[in-house]
Amino acid sequence: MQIELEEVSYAYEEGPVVLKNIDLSIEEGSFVGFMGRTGCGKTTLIQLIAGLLVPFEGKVLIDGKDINSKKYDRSELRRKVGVVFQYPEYQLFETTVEKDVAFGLKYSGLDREDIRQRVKEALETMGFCFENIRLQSPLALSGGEKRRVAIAGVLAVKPKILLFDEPVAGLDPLGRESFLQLLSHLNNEGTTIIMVSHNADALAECAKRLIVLENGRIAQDGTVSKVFFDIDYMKSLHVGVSTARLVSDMLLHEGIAVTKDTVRYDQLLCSLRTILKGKGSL
Amino acid sequence: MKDLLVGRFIPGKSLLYQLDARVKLVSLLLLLLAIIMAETARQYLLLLGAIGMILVLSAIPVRAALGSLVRMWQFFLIVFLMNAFFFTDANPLWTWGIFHLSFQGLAQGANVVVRILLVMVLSNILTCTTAPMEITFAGERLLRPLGCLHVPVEEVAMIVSVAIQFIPILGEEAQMIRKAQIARGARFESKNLLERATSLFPLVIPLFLAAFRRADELSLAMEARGYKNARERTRKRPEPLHAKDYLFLGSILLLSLFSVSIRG
Amino acid sequence: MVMVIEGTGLGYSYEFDGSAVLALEDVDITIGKGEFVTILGQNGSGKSTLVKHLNALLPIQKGHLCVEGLDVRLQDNIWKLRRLCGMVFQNPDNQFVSSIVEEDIAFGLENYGVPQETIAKKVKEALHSVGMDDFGKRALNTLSGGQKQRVALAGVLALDPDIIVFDEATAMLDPQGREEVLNMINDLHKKEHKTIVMISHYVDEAVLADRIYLIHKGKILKNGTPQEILTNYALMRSAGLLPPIPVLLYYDLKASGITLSSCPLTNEELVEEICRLS
Repeated sequence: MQIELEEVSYAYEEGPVVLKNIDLSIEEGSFVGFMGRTGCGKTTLIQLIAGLLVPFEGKVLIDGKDINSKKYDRSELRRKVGVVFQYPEYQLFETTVEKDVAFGLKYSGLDREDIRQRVKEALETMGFCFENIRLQSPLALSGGEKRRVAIAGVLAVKPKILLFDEPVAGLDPLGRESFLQLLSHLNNEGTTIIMVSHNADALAECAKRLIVLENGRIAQDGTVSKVFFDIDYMKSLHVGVSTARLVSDMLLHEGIAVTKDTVRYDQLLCSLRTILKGKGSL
Repeated sequence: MKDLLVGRFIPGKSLLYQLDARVKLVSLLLLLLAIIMAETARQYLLLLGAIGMILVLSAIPVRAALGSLVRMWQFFLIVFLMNAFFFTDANPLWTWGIFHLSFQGLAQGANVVVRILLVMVLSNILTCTTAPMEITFAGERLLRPLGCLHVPVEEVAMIVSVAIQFIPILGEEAQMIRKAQIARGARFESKNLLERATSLFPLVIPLFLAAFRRADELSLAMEARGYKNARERTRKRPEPLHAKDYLFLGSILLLSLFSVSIRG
Repeated sequence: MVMVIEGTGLGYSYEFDGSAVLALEDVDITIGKGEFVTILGQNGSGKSTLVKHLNALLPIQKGHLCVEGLDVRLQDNIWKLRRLCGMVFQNPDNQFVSSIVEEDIAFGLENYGVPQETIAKKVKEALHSVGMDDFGKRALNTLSGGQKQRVALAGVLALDPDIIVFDEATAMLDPQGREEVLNMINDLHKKEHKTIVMISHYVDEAVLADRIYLIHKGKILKNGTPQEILTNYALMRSAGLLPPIPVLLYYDLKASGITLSSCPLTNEELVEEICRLS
């Protein structure tokens, strides 16, 4: 198992316990979505996996090693795990895009040429032309460009595990679409992706496993179709399901036989094509 | 960081909440003067007792009054030691190079630390029992006479009350920025001083930008809500003082005078 | 219908790095009393720039604009204008002047010299209208995003405006917060008959409006009912947006030879259409 949490509990200073006895294992190469209403502990969970918070109980293991033990080499953690927080564009600070993206590689031990190559690749993955963007000031770019530069900064480190906290917040539909395509692409290349999101449609498109948190505990854990199955239960957890699931549920109630585990748009379309074949043609 | 300057307001109904904010501010000032002029154990005990009484009258949890004091123990230790070792090099108890541990130094160190502690506890009690706006209005009214000297009292009061809001929000923002940069490999905790200094940029620059962004958005919101200037606004008519206000202020005045008089 | 907002030929450029960046070009906008209008466009399309003209937060550079009969160009009108046309902003944290709910709501009232005695009453009414009667003494930093936006709305409602502008007011909220705010907006529209102008890039929110202005690169592409705008796939794509999922399904099914009798906008309409067909 690449990521393991063993009976992890966490409470903020002077605050209530935010995570209670969490046991979790995540395989290498997975794409996991975390859902739950605000305050359920999902952002805390991401920070624990990234080693930014230390649990007061339990262990966080990455590749079998306890990341909070004194013997663990923190720089190894920084190389393996990349985190993109909400509104990452607000963390830019360097004078040029190239320098900002290279920031994470400062202590990597790579030589200048290698760093430049990494930066180039990362920026190109995010849709930029390296020569055009590298000397521009990151703070003078548009909101969307800033966000892509910030993410490039995390990708440049080539982490094996990528954690995202509400990455599509504030993006318009096309921005969202291209971002999700990027995530799927990275996941296909072997990067483990963990994404916290409220956007059920986005998660349905990309995630292979969904974990729903409620009050610091894991309330649901399974494939998207399994988790989205019980709509009422999800409602009680203050979490939405994908539009495709909602529509298929309504259709099933009306006696239309869509396939039971329809959660994605393409599945719904496929199902409807089969059912309505031959009907309503002009 | 949010607890450092402004102990958060906790809604309540005890006596201290019922007192006029101006009375509380003036009382704080009087006690401050008494504390600064205190030197003997008797005076400190008297003032400590007074603060204890005020704490009881406020009915706020002791934890809130102590605020961040416990976390600042290193700061207090440094202040104490600096005084202990550098106050004077006459009659040293122990010397080593430039360090001269003296009895006067120890006494002075204790004085300074105790004074800071007392003042901080008092300030915390004030900010916990008085809404920020109330404090600003009280400050504004107390400073109004300065308006005759063309000091823009209302503007300053508006700036202060709006700025107070900035602190907790920027504090949270700083936390997130710090974590994001650490996640990228920033070395804030490095042993190397130069590394630590340069690592401040990824923290300070985004924070400055956050502050400017907020100021920009907030000023737009203020204008949209009809803000023209600080003077042509409804001013809260100061409520008349009640018996308890006079009694409280009177007691504090007497106490402070007494404390100063039993010196020496 | 009485027109409360009438703008013609509006244009605006921002100064950036020595050159002028065109944000609005030749925009005409008319909104009637009691209408709920959404200005829909992708990020950077100019919607926020347009809407900041309504309460004179941005000066008119080109064109004419009259709000409730007041010419926005005249300095003397600005203060009056901002009372008639209130605005709720995107970032819930960056629009509060005080840390206590009732103090912040009073801010606008104080700006207009409303007498002290009336302020307390108006604050109470405002809190009631957003369903937060017991929140008066609460500290703002203890509230959820949705609650914060409702307090911001209360602050605006306290001045009893005729027009309320929501500048991407739901963009930074979680689904629950978004629902809370949208419900409030619906109530204001249907029960209080306020004129609502909403800026958004969320197409599912745009369905609620009476009319939509579709904006792209500073120009109005079209204005019409949600039915006219959102079901027009090509139009939406040219604005850099995706239509709502029911519309996408309609077109994808059509491409497979299956035509529903009409293009649905909401999930409910979609289900109805499919049932009708089968």
